[in-house]
Amino acid sequence: MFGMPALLDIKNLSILFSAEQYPLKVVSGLSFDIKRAEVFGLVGESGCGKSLTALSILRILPQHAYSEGEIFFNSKNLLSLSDREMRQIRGKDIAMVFQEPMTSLNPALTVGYQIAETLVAHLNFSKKKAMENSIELLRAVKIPSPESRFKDYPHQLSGGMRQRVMIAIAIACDPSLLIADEPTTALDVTIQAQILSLLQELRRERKMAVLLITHDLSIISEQADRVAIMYAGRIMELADVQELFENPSHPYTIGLLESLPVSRGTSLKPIPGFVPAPGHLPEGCKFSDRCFAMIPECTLAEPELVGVAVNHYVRCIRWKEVRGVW
Amino acid sequence: MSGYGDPFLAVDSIKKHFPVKGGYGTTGKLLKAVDGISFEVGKDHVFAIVGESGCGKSTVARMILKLLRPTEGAIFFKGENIADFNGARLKQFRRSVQVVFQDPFASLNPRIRIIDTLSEPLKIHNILPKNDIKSRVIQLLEQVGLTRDALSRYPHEFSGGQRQRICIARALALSPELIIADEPLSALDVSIQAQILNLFQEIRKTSAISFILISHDLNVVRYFSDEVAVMNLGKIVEQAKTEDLFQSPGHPYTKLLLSSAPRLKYAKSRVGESGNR
Repeated sequence: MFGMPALLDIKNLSILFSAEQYPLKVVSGLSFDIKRAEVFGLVGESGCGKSLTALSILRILPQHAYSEGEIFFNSKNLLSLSDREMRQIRGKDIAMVFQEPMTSLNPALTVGYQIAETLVAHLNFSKKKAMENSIELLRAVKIPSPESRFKDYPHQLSGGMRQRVMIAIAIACDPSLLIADEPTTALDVTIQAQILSLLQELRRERKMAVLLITHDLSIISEQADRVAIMYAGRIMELADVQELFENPSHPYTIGLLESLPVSRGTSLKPIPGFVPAPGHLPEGCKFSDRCFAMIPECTLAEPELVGVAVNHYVRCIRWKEVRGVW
Repeated sequence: MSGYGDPFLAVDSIKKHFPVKGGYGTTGKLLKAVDGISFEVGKDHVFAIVGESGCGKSTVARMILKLLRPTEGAIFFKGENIADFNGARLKQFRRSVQVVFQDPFASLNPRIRIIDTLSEPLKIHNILPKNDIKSRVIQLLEQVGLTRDALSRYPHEFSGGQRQRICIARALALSPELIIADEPLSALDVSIQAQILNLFQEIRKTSAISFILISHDLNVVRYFSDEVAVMNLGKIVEQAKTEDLFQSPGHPYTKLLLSSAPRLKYAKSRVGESGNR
């Protein structure tokens, strides 16, 4: 893998919302890369900017939001492509699975049609060939009796089946990057386990990289190869999965881990306070107002993301003291 | 089942069947949402019901709250059948049994201030002289970790975790004996979940309140409950003391649930550590 350029390389990405007086920055100076066929986990609580990051990769940010910086995909800067060029990549080389399988399928069209649509649009398949392929894709995502399911409408399928259809659409053109934004949050645990193992299987078979976005640390620890922890639009910690969970070195990461109910009867140590609204973030380190390790210097300047071990980066001036607390 | 003393709440083979309209030209069917379940909840105990969506766990909660009438079976609150409650007795029952719902965004009236939300139950049940209501509301807010600044604010000014605190304060307002918490953490972020779980623990320590915790999150159930019932397709498939169930699940469905739950890998286990603290 050394020397090979990363599949996706995000450099200094900021996402801003245009507001009346001055733009509101919700994601700030984000940089990370995703290598071929790896599962990269992006973790954070609601409002930290993880979903906006995903949307900006595909350039489907909501109105009034815009991005700055560079997103290289196969060495091409996605942010400087024309709309037409971007359309050829979106859904083909980079595909996305959303959280809500209930609302992301068109209720008026059969699932087969919705899969075939992608194949016709991107690969110029004939209708007949696209239909045959759609059945194969339904089989690939392990939907039983795909020949008859093909003609079903979304309301005839359960939530887990719908998410499988969403995945079938996403992998139809053999993307090299799949963005999965909270793909199992709306599903029951047993179905969640099935969908996650399906994603792992597909990424192995198809050598497809996955950007897995979730708030669930347990899922990330089981599924991802590398992890970035986001808070207030910034990466606070970035490391290989084992290193991150064995030696968490940012107070926020530790706070998240200590919030998990593990043993009975002990009192949990939640992170005090709540996430401030963008525009009301503290000076200096954005986590300083909730941090157990805060010292006056923390509010002077925002810390840089610094390397603390092999492939392990932390945005905290007190990481030496913090590392080992967990 | 006994051993907790008097059955504080006894659910006796309740069923709830909903008629489902058939398609055109077909006859309707019965949806057996809850199909004959029984359990007892002891005073000052936490009884958890786990199961996947559609297993009937929320329907059980609504029957205990007397928001739904069971098709068959009966629910006894301190020995009395709740189906017989009406008038003053029903009002008293409503005071003793309170609920916290899943979605704190949907369960507060957006058009009334927090002080009105929290004083409404006190006024309806007429348990405090008018002049004392405000100080009681402030006390409730403090109990759930909010300050008196919240009084004149509206729900939209609060985050999800804060709203859930307000919902809990409302449930506590009437000093209930039983709180039914239906997925109280699902809509909240991890760090906020921990805050609310701690608040529940605090409530347990300071007041003798029984809980029925309805959840799909096995970690939360293991952390907070004394006894668990696992529901599947309207039936309880397994019921045991919480630690026993997690240590040695008996039913295949319980085993499936436990093995499906994602587990934190790599992180050092704190289970052993906690004993030394």
